Amino acid sequence: MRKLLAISATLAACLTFGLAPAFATGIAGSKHDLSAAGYGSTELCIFCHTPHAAKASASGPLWNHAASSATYTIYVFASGTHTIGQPGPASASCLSCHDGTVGIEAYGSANTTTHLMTGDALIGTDLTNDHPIGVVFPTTGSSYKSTHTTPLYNGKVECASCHAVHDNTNPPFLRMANGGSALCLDCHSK
Amino acid sequence: MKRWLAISAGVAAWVTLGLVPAFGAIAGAPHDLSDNGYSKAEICIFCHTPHHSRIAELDIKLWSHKTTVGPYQLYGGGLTSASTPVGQPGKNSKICLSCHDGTVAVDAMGSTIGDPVGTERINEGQWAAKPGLYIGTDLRNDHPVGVPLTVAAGKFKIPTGGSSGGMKLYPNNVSGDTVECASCHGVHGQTAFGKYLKVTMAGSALCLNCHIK
Repeated sequence: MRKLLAISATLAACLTFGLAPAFATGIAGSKHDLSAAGYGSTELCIFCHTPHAAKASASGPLWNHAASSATYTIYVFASGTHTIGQPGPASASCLSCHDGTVGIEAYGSANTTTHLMTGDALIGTDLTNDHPIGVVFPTTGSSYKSTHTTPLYNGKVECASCHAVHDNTNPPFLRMANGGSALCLDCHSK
Repeated sequence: MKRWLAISAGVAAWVTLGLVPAFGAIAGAPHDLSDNGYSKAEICIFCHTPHHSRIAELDIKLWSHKTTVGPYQLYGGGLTSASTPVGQPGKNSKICLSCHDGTVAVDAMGSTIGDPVGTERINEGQWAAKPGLYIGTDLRNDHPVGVPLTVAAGKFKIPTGGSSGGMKLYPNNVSGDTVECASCHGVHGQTAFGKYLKVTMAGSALCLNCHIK
């Protein structure tokens, strides 16, 4: 609720001042700013969010992007006992562009595949070569830290655990600077 | 403070017993290359990447380093004095040799997006003057790796401490599994005994964990 209020306040501020969000390292001008990409809108938020008629298949607040219907090949653990499944909502929102099956421009009523993700931002549907997501954070054993600042979603590590999609202070949209692998070591005891 | 005391007590216990690996110390240890002037001031990236890993190249968790292809000259020419065949190094040796055999640059790391080359091998640049790091591809003068250990009375036994990253044969620490670099060396935090050894060399405890002498 507090988050929604914050978003509303930000939206209100944008509308009032007629400006892009004032965060110097925010989404404006970042790779997630698609306003100049020629994808059918010169707005920022619209590719993911809409103030009205948001999608029922919401993977984020006021969700506006076409969902991926992919079934993912999930990460295979070499050892240990882990509970892992298909990516949760806090990953699905990212993968609806980054798995390369849905057009980046597919917002609102569109469900097109005109501009598919390419390059190193393309994760694909094979997640075996990516850090596990949709995985329950282990609460036992000495390999993981019980106290960490990165968020879990329903107790699971998801894309949004490491990535903050609205803030590119630490590219690529990392939740904290990764000097000395600080982000990794936030959870991993090594 | 309470946590530190608990950790200290734990470390003290390990060091005393000399058996279970100490963890939590990769930062600041020799394998922390974040301060060595390479393109990334990070620790994990030299071996692991969160996306586009090289797992198809080498089946290691989120593998990031360009993988050595050898080929290696094997201990005993491929046969031990007990006529046990010595194979090419397994994956739990290749992870180490991808830097330490000097065929791939230390900083040749990164995802499968692109083909990293790096700037210096382990027998070059800042590493050249540091003895012991360069193993090379001639493994005839090194303890065999890729060699199976078969339990035999009076000769060989399964190493203890096989769980939690301790000494083990690969993959499952059973008779017939192979000795690899990682059998003796723990590359992450096992710094208590030097050279990333998993067990103390005092009284040659590490050697005697497999060899019955």
